[in-house]
Amino acid sequence: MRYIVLFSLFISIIFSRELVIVSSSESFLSKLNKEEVVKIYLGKIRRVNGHKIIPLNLKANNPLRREFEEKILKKDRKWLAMYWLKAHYHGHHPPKVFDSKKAIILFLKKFKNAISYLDKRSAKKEGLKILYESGK
Amino acid sequence: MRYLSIFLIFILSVSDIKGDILGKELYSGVYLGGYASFDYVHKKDEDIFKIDELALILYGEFDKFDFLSEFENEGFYEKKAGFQKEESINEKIHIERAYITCYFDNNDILRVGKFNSKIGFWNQMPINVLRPTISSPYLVKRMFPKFTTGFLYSKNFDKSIKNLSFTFQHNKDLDGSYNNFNLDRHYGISLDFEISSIDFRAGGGYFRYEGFNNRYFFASFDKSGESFEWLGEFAIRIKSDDVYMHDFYIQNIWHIVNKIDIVSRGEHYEDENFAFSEFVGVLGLVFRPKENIALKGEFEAHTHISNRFLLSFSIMF
Repeated sequence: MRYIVLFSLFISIIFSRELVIVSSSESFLSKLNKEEVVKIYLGKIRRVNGHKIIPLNLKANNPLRREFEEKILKKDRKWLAMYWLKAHYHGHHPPKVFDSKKAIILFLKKFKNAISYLDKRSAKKEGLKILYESGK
Repeated sequence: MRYLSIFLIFILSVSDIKGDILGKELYSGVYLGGYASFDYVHKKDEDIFKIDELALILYGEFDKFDFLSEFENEGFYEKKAGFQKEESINEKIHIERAYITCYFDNNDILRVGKFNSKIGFWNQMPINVLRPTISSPYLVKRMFPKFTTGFLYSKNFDKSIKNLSFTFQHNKDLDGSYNNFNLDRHYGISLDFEISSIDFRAGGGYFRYEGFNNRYFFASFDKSGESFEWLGEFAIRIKSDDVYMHDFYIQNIWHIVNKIDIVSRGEHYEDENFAFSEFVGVLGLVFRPKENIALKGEFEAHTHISNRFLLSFSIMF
């Protein structure tokens, strides 16, 4: 049993990814704190430093999105679905959804006011600006 | 009947919900959605089937302003069986809400138009699919105006005091027949605050209805946990002839298993003519196969008026 636990720990360390919030390298944003990220993704903050922010989402079944909801938003899927159901009644729409990480990266590079969550490795590889790191 | 056919075709065409996204994007930032509910009510001498709510919501989110318009048909079809046999169709469409919201910054907004009065928690979520029960507490329709046509200024704070809102109406209602009180004046104040993870909303106001002055005061609380939610609201209404009315309810929701909730509510109110003092007990079951679809059943027990058993199917798209 001890070896299984150690092996699982080893695997989780090897494959763990650090979740970061990113924008285009030319974005006017420099840093965001966790509270701001949560408020932006729940539609409670629309602007930062006077600029409109566009938060981006991956599809509902994407593991990176699940990790973002669990670690940063700290909300379960049911809570979020009910939240956006009520918001829809009040005329608010959830963040834009993209099919893949690649599509998100293309959008981020085109729109300086867009932000998204990504794994740190992809963010660095694509030269995106890191606004918030979940581990820090 | 042709409106119902158009509406049902519309529901079918937009109810293909992708992931968790509701509404159909017509243009960039402009969405079309809506909701519907179908109810069955059983009383001692009567059975009623109703197509109760049919509504379309059109809204847009832009840089510094939003807009929302909602058109609703209430009681489109009703069939009564039992002591009185009746069948009726109502094709009239009302403006339930129509407003523009200006965002000065993240914390200051000004809303102009017809909107849900910011009084208590229930009045912000008044439609069947969003409510925890088919019926609403009597407090919501007896104590204050459900809708206001005027201005709402709202300011958010980051501390334990979370929001302060002012309501101002000094004109006739937009589609006044579609409000619980057909108003021409409404001034109100509402304060949101949090103490020990419990959300509170309290305030009061004045409204004029059929030439009579009315004052109201309210206090609400909402405490949510992973497996439960407690909601309570208390309101007093004083009419100009010094008729004093009060109403309060407390409700509990237990999320017993995934997709299923049990709801219980107790409410006490006095009849407007002081003919009786009523206690209402509600016990309900909610099944949500998806968050935007609710199947509900409930029993409503009264001390004076007839008890009721209700079933409903409601959907938002």
